[in-house]
Amino acid sequence: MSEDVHHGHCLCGAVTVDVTGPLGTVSACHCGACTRWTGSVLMSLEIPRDRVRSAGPIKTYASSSFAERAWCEDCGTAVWFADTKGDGAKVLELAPGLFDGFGGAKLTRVVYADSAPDGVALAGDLQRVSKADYEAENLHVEDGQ
Amino acid sequence: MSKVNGHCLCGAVTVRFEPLKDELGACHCEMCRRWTGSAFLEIDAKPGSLTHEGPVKTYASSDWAERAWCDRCGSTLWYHLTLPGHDYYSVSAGLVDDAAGLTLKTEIYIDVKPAGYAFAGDHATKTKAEVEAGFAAFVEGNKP
Repeated sequence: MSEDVHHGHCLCGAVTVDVTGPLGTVSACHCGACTRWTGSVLMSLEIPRDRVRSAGPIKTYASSSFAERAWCEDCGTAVWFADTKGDGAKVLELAPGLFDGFGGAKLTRVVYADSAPDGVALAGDLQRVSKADYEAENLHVEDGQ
Repeated sequence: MSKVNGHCLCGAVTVRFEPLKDELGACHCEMCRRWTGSAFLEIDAKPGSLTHEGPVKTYASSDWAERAWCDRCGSTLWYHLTLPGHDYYSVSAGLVDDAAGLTLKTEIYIDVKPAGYAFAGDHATKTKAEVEAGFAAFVEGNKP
């Protein structure tokens, strides 16, 4: 039997993103760059690149020496964040909004939890990782860059 | 309130405006969700107060509004009502440091938010039907 395919698309429909197999869970990032880029918090579904088929006018920006951010050139929809170096480059962090109702996926983890704007917080029993703890284990952008 | 300054991730687009209210709003409608990836978190700008510079690109997402982003880095910039006679910008909160110190107080289209997450706190909410009833009245009242 073939695996389920989740069909995602941007606001205008020009970009399509199909994922074969499960979407997994949603992670959120409150780092300064993700806040600036999304306007709120970057939510993502971490999917191995070999399970993702994307098409359409996807534009990317190298937001650091090790990562890029992608959006639809026609409507500005956030499509993915992805490491371009290291082990992280094997996955795409897809915007859950591409899939109807987040494809049913649930938020389970928040990184840079202590960097959120004071007036905004995510609810629930989530794994909350501080900026210091995240940066001790992962590639990251130094403050002020 | 006094004017606040914002900028996109790469810094190419800068924006300056006066917040209309002392609060942040979140929109969970399907269009905002698809566009931002989660929810559109916004600060309403006082009419006439917004100025901007840099490579802004826009998409007409309906007959009455457009959405803007930085053409260089893709940062979400604003939702703008394009109906004649109106000057309404809903500015992406993350453009301003610490969301201008404002607090999330209102969530609209709350009944179509994905079940998989929620913002913490007790906020004023409106359903899709409530928002759209208000919008229909607004459009009706503005017919020539």
